Amino acid sequence: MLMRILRTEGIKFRRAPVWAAFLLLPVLPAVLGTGNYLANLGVLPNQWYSLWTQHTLFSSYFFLPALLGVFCSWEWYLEHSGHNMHALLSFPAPPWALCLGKLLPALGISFLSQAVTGGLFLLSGSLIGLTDPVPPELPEWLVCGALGGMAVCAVQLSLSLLLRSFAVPVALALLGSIAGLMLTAQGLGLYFPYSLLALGMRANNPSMELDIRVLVVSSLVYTLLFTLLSIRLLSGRDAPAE
Amino acid sequence: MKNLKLEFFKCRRRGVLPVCLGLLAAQFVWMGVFLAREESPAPDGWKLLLYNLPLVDAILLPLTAAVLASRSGETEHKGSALKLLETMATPGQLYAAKFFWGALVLAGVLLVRSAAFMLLGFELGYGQPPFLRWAAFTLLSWVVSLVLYALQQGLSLRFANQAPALIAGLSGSFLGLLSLLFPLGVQRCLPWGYYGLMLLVRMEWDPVTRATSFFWREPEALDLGLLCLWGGLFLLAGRALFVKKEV
Repeated sequence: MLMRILRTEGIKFRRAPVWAAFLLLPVLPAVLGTGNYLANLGVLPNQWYSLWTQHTLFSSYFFLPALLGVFCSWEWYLEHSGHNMHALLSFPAPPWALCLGKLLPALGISFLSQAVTGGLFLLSGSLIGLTDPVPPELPEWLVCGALGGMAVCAVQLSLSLLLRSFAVPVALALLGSIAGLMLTAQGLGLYFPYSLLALGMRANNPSMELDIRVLVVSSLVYTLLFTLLSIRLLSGRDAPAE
Repeated sequence: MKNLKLEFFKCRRRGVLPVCLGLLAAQFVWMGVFLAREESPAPDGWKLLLYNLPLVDAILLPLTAAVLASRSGETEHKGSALKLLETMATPGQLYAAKFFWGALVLAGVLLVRSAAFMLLGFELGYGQPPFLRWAAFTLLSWVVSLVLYALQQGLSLRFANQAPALIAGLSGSFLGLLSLLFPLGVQRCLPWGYYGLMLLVRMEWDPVTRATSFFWREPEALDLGLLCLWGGLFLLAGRALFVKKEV
């Protein structure tokens, strides 16, 4: 069942260029971050580690969570357009499968954005001739970032399903990210979904001691909680006549 | 005028007010937390506020402009209303009505924002607000936001799918913030970087005494001219794309 739904979602994604944003837009923080690193070599002595702080500066706090929000908005926008919600709700599939059909592609996009970020980081470091070995923690940063992104996607999918708007959930993602930044500064970041992505990536602080178990559990709990909320919302939903 | 009034009717219950209140709340909390940490530098308080507020603007206002334009444009796409609308008003008139709607909403939000922050500064003991500077700051933030709104309106009306418009707004928020770290030449090439170029305060940091001082400044005439140029470009291009669009 789930495989058939995922295949159907795949057909909806065909020729839709939204995923391209996740391939192309990480170039911005990479280029600007590398430029900033080269301009401040005097105060950034730790080669790859310093370059990582510049690549993830701001992007993981504000940019990536809201960008994931755009993807989630788009996924539900398809169903909210025209009479597609009627078709979706009359589809012989349980709501949990329909919600997972939205969450799993978003999770894929979260991993894709981290893979691209990692790839661009390695490329930038090689191009500017960093001589130290590549940080062995890089895969961990990226996987933890993607898991944090998964929690953001679950929250955003619930918001987009509930609000039936494209733009408002994206604005909420930005507001959530700002709140996340403040809570991270208070040491509560691991308990707030929008902080998990930046914390997982160790943005701005690659030497941060982080309890990965808490991060993974927190990401999974938020994902589960908000996916259950989406299932609940979809189960009790009447398709609006738009 | 009638078209403009209709735009306000169309946007009832479309979450415009919560978006505006969310922006104000985010700015207020952000700056409130920031100012609460400062050691009440009373003589420089207003300068500190007017130096930091545009930096928060650079993050929040590009996306706010994108969201407002998207809410206004999406309503026509969702209701497939453009074909009927264009039998009653020319596309140019519709485009202008939507632009003026955005201009009024942004003006309202920024006026409330300025009044709230003046009150906050007064409560924090900064003394009498420099009203003229605040008026200039409000006007300049409004003009920069309006230029970005013109870009966003063009995208939101051109594409039924709001993803490109929102991605442009988000990228703008990001570029606007990062452009503040880059040389003037780069900032001038990015319409989102003008919040930084329009700053009314400059900061000087003395590496020996580690003291920070703030001074009033005026935006350069070149930057004001370039900002108008960007606005004109976005308006004309967006209007042309909308007017020629088959509905």
